Amino acid sequence: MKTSNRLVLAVLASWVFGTAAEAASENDWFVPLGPPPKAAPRRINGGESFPPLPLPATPLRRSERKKQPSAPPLIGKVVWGEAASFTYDTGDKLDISDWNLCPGDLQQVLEKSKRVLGVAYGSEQVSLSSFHYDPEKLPVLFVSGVRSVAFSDDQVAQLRGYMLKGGMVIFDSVAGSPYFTEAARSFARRAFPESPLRTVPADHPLYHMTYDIDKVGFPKNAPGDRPAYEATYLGCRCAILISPFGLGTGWDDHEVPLLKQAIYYDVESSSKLGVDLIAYAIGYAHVGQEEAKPELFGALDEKRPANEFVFAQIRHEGHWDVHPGAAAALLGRVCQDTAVAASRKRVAVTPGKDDLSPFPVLFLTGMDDFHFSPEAQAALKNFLAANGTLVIDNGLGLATFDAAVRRELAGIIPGAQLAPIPADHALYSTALPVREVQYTPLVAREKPDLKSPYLEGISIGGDLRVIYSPYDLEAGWGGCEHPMMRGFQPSSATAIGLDVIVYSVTH
Amino acid sequence: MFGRLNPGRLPFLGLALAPCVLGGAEDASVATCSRDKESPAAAVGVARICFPDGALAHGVAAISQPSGQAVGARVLWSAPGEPATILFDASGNAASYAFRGAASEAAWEARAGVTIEARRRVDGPADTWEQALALWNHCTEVEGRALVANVFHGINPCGETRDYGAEYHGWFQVAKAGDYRFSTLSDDASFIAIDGKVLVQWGSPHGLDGGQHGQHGANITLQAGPHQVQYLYFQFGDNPIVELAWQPPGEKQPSVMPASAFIPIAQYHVDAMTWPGERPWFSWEMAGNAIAGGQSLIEVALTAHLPKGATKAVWSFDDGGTAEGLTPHHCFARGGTREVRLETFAGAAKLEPCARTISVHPLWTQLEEWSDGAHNRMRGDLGKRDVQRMPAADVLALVRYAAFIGDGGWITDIGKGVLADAKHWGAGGAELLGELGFQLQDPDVRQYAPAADAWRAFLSLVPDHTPAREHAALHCGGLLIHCLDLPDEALAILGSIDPKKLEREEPRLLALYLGDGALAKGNIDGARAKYAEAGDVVKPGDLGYAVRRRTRLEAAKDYCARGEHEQALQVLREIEWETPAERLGTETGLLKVRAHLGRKELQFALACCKHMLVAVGPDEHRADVLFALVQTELACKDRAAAIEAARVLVKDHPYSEAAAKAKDAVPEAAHR
Repeated sequence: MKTSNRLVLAVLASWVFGTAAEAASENDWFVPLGPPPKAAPRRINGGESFPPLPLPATPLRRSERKKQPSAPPLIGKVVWGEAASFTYDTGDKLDISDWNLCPGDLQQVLEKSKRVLGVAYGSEQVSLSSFHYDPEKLPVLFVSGVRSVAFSDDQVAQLRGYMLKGGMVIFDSVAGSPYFTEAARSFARRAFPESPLRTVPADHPLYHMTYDIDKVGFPKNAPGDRPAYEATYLGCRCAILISPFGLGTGWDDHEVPLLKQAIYYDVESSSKLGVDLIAYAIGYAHVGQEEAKPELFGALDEKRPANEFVFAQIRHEGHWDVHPGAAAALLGRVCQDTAVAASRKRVAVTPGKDDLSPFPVLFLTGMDDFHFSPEAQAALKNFLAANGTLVIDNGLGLATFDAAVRRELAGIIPGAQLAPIPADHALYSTALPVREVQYTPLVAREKPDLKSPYLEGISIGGDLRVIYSPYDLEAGWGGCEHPMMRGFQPSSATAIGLDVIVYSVTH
Repeated sequence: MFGRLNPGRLPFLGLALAPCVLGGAEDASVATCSRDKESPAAAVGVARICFPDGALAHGVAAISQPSGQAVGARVLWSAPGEPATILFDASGNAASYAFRGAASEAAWEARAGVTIEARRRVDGPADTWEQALALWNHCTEVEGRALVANVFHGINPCGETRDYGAEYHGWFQVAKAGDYRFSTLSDDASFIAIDGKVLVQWGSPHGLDGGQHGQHGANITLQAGPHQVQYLYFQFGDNPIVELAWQPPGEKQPSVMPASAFIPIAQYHVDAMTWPGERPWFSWEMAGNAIAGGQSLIEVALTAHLPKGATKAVWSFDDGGTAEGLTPHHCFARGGTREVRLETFAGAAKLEPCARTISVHPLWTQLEEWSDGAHNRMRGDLGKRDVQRMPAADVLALVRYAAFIGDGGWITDIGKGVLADAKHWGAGGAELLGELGFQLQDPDVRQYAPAADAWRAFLSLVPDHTPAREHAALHCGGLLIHCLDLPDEALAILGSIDPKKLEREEPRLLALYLGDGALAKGNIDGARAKYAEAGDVVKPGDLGYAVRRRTRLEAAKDYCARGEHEQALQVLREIEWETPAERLGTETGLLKVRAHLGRKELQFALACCKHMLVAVGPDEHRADVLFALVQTELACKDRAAAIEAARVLVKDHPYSEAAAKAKDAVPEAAHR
């Protein structure tokens, strides 16, 4: 439909902040995203020129005493930016707002999620100036738009605290506007400078919670056929999630006729992505809250008893701290159930920079790609040569990290290959005898015959020096469920974890 | 013609009886009526009469007085236990008219006013006039007939306001000849005929859209004089709207056809009742009701008519109630046919009594089905009654009514009264005891021990291996395990159940309760075996279940946080139902404790904690379970038990967050 795109910016309110500098190209995106409103039907019945007939009184009934409770709120849609009036060629006018270009998005995706998940959740508007920043009350914030969204330093700090407590912030570049996407990335860099944005891998739970989404469709300007999320990880979960292509219009079952350059998922793709996203937000809310519990880190130069086991974890360029708090939970069990004296504090070490010699065991985990520098590789090679043991856990059991581990190990121990550790290996009976284990439902479906513990390892000089778990062990230590994760169930994870620690310390 | 519509209606027969007929039956009652002072004279009169000798089964005879001339009359409505409504020829404007039953009625038509006949609707289409006519003829259950002001109703004046049909029949006077427009506004189907000619059809179930401006109407030319309008209506479901509008010549818009448009009918009342033997009699009418959850408390207004010399009236009712006076009101806990007895005294001498069966039902024309005033009045009256003297059906109705309005105090009082002598009820009280078992354990009532007593009494009354007995035994067993910590008795009761007599999902529930009972006795393997026997309802390999389960658990947490504990428990029970092994875990259990505490179901919370402690391993949230026990014992105001639990927690899990919280809640736990 031809439109004049006459846009009159009428600043009604600036709830959050003033908008960023208004480049003309950015404002070109600020148009209604849905189809033009339909003309009201004409009333042609002449009889309607007089008032309607009165109605008789009807019974007043006692209402049911037990009302159905309203759906608990899950998502708050953040109010930001400006409002404007848009005039169509037809002369019809429509008020639009930066934050709410797709007014039906959340309501619709929650309704679609309810049909799949069987649980009703609700949404509400959120003004950051009066928001409580408590994820237990509202675990997800949703920011939608096409123009540059900006946050004050105070708001960035508040939102950072909100996410550290378990909250999640989702950015939907609802028409695929690069201005909004870049603004979201800027926010992520400011909120978590220590944790860069990462591309969410295809086997991440976000794409598999209820629907397996490998390919998607775009009504126009298709950038490919794969879904694309960027995320800032906190622990194992996505604290900030950015969708550079529009989700909301598909949730609301319509396209974007006025923007030729718009990039957005088709209705089916966005609906499936949306349901998976809602399921993820709900399913990992408790993970966020568990991982938000404070944990004490030890210092490298801290004086400890000589025989005390210290859980030293390798810091690398990837996302190295996947399950905060999990090690402390396992160390508690080590102290309680084994003869090993263990410190309850984790210590983070950087190979190539820190002295690794005090630690008989190093722990490595991650969720995506990473590279060791030559210095780090050399340090780890020396560590292994000095009878150290490297224990590696694949956070959530993702393929990207698996490939990175195998590649980096090849650099550290050239020629050596990871091989399955047989089920009758002494490792599995060091602390607790482990014969049969329980895997998470996803592994159980993919490997229905797998009942015994599956770890891989590399032996050096006849001794097991590298122990790798392609299925997430660490997630189970805290007893916290991680939906659609490839890993061990908590009791199995704990038993194997105890065996690995005791074996590594005693061998 | 609408004249073919009347299989359920008494024929519009008139009568022309000689005066001697009235005296012909020595035992027949005769009512003498005169016109109400405020009612103008009219060609047709109406009288509502409670004949003490029952219904007018065949017809009525009317005679003007003092002339003794027989006049036309017809019974508009007469049914056992209900006052009769009689239309009669009052054109003579006599000083009074006498009425009595007759063997038959002769042809006479009351050409005035608006009458309604309502029938319970049966299934069938009413899209066209022909279909509506056929449907009307298939509806043979007549609910009543009454005189109404006009065709303008949002209720059924003769019965329950849902799924009914109604035929309105009115006579109106046209003063000025011309084109008249008649229209209908209705929800659902309606049809209009004027002088026997079908004029408007708005068939099939529909709402009001498209009719609120009188669109469903048609014009007809009428000459001056009386005319007849007939309006046939069907309601499919609830929320009826019945509206006949007209637009006389010269009017610019349609309006509801007012009562004043119809030919008036004069109102008459009973002056005297001649009943052989100088016996007393009484009249009655429904005075009001309070309806909640389908249960009706009904107030009946009674009026005693005493014979000469009588000075005192004493009433007794079939629900054990009594009253004194000439015009008492009595509250019944439910409708139906009820026995009322009136005794009169002349000094100390008791005169011959009058006993009647009356039909008690809600006052159909009362728009406000429930009001605080009516409820409080009747609640006050019924609350004083001795339930042991009431029929079990009445007490059952009261329990259900009280349950619907959430009056836990009343349920408690009724329970005390009923259980004071549970054997008194006999087999007829089984349903009452079963209902009490459920209601006494309601979260708003929390009378668990009496609830168990009610179940036990029920089980003693009902023969073994009947579905009702097994059903009750199942719920009794559940209560004893999950609330009263009596697993031995529970397992004995559950073990006596024949699973083949259980219905639908109950065999599965039995297996779960047997598992719960085993768990309560510390037999984890036994519990596990029973849960395995029950099995999961989730298909193997249903990967999405894990996600659905997790989302529901999170929803349950949210509900708890918002105080929606009942909803939380519902979600948790669903999860435990689908995968019974969850009952051995702590994730649903800890949330259940939280929800039970929120609902102040302390004994349920306590049992839940104890069961979890049996099943939980040393690492899997045992500290959290112990802390839940501490909180529950504190809520139960058993501080010693709370301290003991907290000490175990601090000793066994010294570094846990739960231990820290327990030390805050119970400082004594830190010191032994």
